Amino acid sequence: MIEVNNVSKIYTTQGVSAHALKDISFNVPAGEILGIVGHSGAGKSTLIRCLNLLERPSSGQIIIDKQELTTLNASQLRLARHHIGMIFQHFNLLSSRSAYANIAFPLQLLGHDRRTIAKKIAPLIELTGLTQLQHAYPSQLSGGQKQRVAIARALACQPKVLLCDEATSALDPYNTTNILELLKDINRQLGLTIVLITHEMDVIKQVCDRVGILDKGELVEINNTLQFLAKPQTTIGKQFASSCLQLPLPSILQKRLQNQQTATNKALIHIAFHGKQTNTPIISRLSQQLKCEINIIQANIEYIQDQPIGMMLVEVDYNATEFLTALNNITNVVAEVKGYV
Amino acid sequence: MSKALVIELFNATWETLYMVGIASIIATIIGIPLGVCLFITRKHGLLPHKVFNRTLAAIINALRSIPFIILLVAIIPFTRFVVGTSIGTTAAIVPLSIGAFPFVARLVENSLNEIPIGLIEAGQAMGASLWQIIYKILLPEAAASIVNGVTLMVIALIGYSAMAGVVGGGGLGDLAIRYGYQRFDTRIMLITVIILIIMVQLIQVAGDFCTRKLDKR
Repeated sequence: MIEVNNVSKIYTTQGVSAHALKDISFNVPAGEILGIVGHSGAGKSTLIRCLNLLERPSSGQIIIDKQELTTLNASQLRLARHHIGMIFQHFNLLSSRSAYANIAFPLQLLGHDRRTIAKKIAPLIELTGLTQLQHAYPSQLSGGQKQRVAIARALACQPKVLLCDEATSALDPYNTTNILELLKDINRQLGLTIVLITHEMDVIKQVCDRVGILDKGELVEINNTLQFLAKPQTTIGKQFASSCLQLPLPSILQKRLQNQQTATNKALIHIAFHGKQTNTPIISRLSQQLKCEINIIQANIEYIQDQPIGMMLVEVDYNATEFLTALNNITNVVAEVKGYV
Repeated sequence: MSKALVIELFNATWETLYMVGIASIIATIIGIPLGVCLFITRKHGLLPHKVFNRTLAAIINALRSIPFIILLVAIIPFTRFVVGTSIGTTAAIVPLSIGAFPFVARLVENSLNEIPIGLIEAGQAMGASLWQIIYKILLPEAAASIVNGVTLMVIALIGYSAMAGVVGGGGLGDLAIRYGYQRFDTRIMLITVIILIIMVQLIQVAGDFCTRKLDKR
């Protein structure tokens, strides 16, 4: 559905040129949710804005729904944009229009009459749960509600593609989850292809089928979300994966953390496992086998694309290296010694 | 107070309303498109055009820096060309309009500047044309702020209109100068000032009311 070929973007200010995007290529098949994650300044916003040519790439090709956007003239591009929805971090609703009139806006741009508009947006208002709020003005709505209006507006022209530019970054966790659920619903019900950019791995974890890592303008890694989390390939990928899979060390332990194992301290080990491994009773088996005490400090199991991913932070009164060897004999998990307390 | 004087006051009030009213309408009609032009042709605007932008800005600045009393007499030939005469109330409308439209252009530009850039981007992302962005996004979003500014302009014009007497424009200001000042008639002076105060108050109230109605932020 979306094809990005060798896209680069160079900004030149006062003779100094900066590479915002370097030779980026990827495809998004129809019906997929692709998440692009990166630190601020990595070029995420530039990339998503290049997809509908709000920002014109310096070189490369953007093909959406078999149409090469980069070769279109201004009026053809406008027409193509009607079928590419976009939502923004700050919602960008027209403050002078009610929720209903905001949703109707793109259809008005196309010159539809009132009756057609009403017919087209009624199901969208229901889908986004705005029936009670359709006559309210944006200033009377909460962030989550505003983003719902923005989503309904983006869907008004029945686009095949939806671009989300940090769509949940201005929302609290509750509304973030809410909006992400809505995006997932839309993706399933309408078969919409979604590209979203974010700096939060949680967003990726909740909705994305695939994830791309953008670092200093380069797409360094792109993979199925579950596979990526289980086995990130790059250093920056590992950072992002561990940011959402590593359990944080409680600060009280962090303060007491030592680098060397001695006779009196215990090893702190972080264990991550996914898929079938979640069924293996690792702890009790190791405890019996090694005759040692294992104390679980923190543990969590999450479901990503309906697959469990588990994390555990344990304290063991045993030689750390031998413990890891024994652990790997039982099952293939990712374990790491965090230190000794 | 003599009947003649009451009629004189009524006439003067009407003349002020007429001059200021028509001049305000003309200034707004000319000023809004110019303000939009200033906004869209600037650097990183919707239709950047450095030369056009600089030239327009320079003309507007030049017009705004001429003291109104000078403008009034300086453009007499132009006034005669437009309305056929250079004296009288109708003739005063020309300099009043010319004095006010650059002000409107600047305040419209300012109002448009206050619109979050994201709204324009959203419009572009939805496939809006330049024209649609102007009249469906920019102007409605800035409407409250523009009305607020136009109210200021109308009130400023009431002040300017006092000088219209120079070209025989009449109006309350002229009456106050001729009867109140030159004839030492404090009573007339006081009455005209009170009428002007009431007029300004009413315009401000009406302007505020419209601004509130339009402002959904």
